[in-house]
Amino acid sequence: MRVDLDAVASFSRTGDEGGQRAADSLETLTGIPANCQLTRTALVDADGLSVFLGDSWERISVEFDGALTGRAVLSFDEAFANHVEDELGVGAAALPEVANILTSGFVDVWAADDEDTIEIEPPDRLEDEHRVVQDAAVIDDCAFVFESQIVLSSTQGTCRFAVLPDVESFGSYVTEPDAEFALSDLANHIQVASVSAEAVSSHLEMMTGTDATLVESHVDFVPVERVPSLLDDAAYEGAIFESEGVVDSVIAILFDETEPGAVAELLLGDADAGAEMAESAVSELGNITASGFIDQWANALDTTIDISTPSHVRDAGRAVLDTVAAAYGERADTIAVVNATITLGPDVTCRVCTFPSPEDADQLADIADNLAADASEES
Amino acid sequence: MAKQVLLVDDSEFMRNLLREILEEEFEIADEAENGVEAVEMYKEYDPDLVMMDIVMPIRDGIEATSEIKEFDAGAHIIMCTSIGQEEKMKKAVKAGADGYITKPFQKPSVMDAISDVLTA
Repeated sequence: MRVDLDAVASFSRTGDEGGQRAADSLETLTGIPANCQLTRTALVDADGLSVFLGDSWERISVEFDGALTGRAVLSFDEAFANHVEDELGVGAAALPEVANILTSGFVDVWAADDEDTIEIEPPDRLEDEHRVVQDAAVIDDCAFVFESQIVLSSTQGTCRFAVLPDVESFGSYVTEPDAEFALSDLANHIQVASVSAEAVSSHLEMMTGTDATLVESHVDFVPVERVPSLLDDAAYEGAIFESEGVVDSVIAILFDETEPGAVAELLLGDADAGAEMAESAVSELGNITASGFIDQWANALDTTIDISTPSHVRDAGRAVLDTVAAAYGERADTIAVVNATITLGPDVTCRVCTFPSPEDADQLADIADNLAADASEES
Repeated sequence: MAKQVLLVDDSEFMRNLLREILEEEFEIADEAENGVEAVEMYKEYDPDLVMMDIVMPIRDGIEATSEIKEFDAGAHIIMCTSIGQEEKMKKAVKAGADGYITKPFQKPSVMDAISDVLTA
């Protein structure tokens, strides 16, 4: 029995409305224009949950129970926290109130959607980082997270508003009635992310001779118009590919460099190798890393997946993903994205975003099942 | 006299890398950026060995391998590609590839593959 991916899309869509409602509530409270930039439903390796939620100045948890049960974890960065505290004039007491308001705004949409009620508990400061993971509802090492990123128009800061639904509550939303193992099917998708990320990491290390560290990997289900928000406005250099076969995909292998040319220098060992050679090196690095994980997808089904020649890109992250959103915009409401973040030495971060065609969701699920079975055998 | 190698890859970076690995022991006959150029250059140079990428614009490495093998059944061709899919390797072998190395590679694995092919 398969997970109903339309239901996951619907979950993301309702969450998107909830995120915007939360932003509106914050705007009413502070008087500062607030906007919900990114919303996504993510499958995250439970051990990597804390990293997925990012560094924060302060985290606050708010539990809720009713039509949707679980808890919200709000991660405020310093700029956001300081701005809100200054604006509300109540110092550190401001953040729990903001957490309360944001969560209330979010759950109101869910309650209205289900024509039911949701009760929320008082906010609780999360001083022990381990609690983020310990308190998460997890199935097969996979945590389900709904995340919105709320920004204020007058500051660079962000509040990451993550909802960790109770497994049963989330399962009843996205699975068909009597589908006992369907949530495990969805959880298996985390294997696609982790196997791909490990392949990318090892290929990057072999190609560059530099230590590669896998920071985190996850799968997002994102409303298509939110796809560009998966990356920031930093300048990325890398390559875009299309794959064709049992699963068609668009693959973006992108490098965020502290110094322009850092990736090419790792490969060429010569900062003056020329722009054309540098582009060729970066494209080929992307080609090899993309092939490395697409091979694993193909081998999982004993088939082949062809990869196009690379298209070199150098642009702001959002601009790169705009093209992908445009390509899928007419074909899907919500799309899956397989993500990995890998650091390469101190100066380079590699972001891998793979967008399997929505029409190939069943084949992707088959790959996930086979990779999960392989992982289970190995352990 | 050093044996001649034809390098075929659409990536200038990868051709450079292969040239650096091979030029101590082999003579680089020429470099082709796609399958069409590869076939033309093979006919022109008659090299002892071809290092052939698979995914290339205009004509891919599997088609070019078939064509070279039709022209010269004794040609030695090593597929040198980032694709490690088992089914794809079978296709390459069917097209006539004598060896297969997967990127990223290091010098010893390249030299081993060449040795296997040239001494077979």
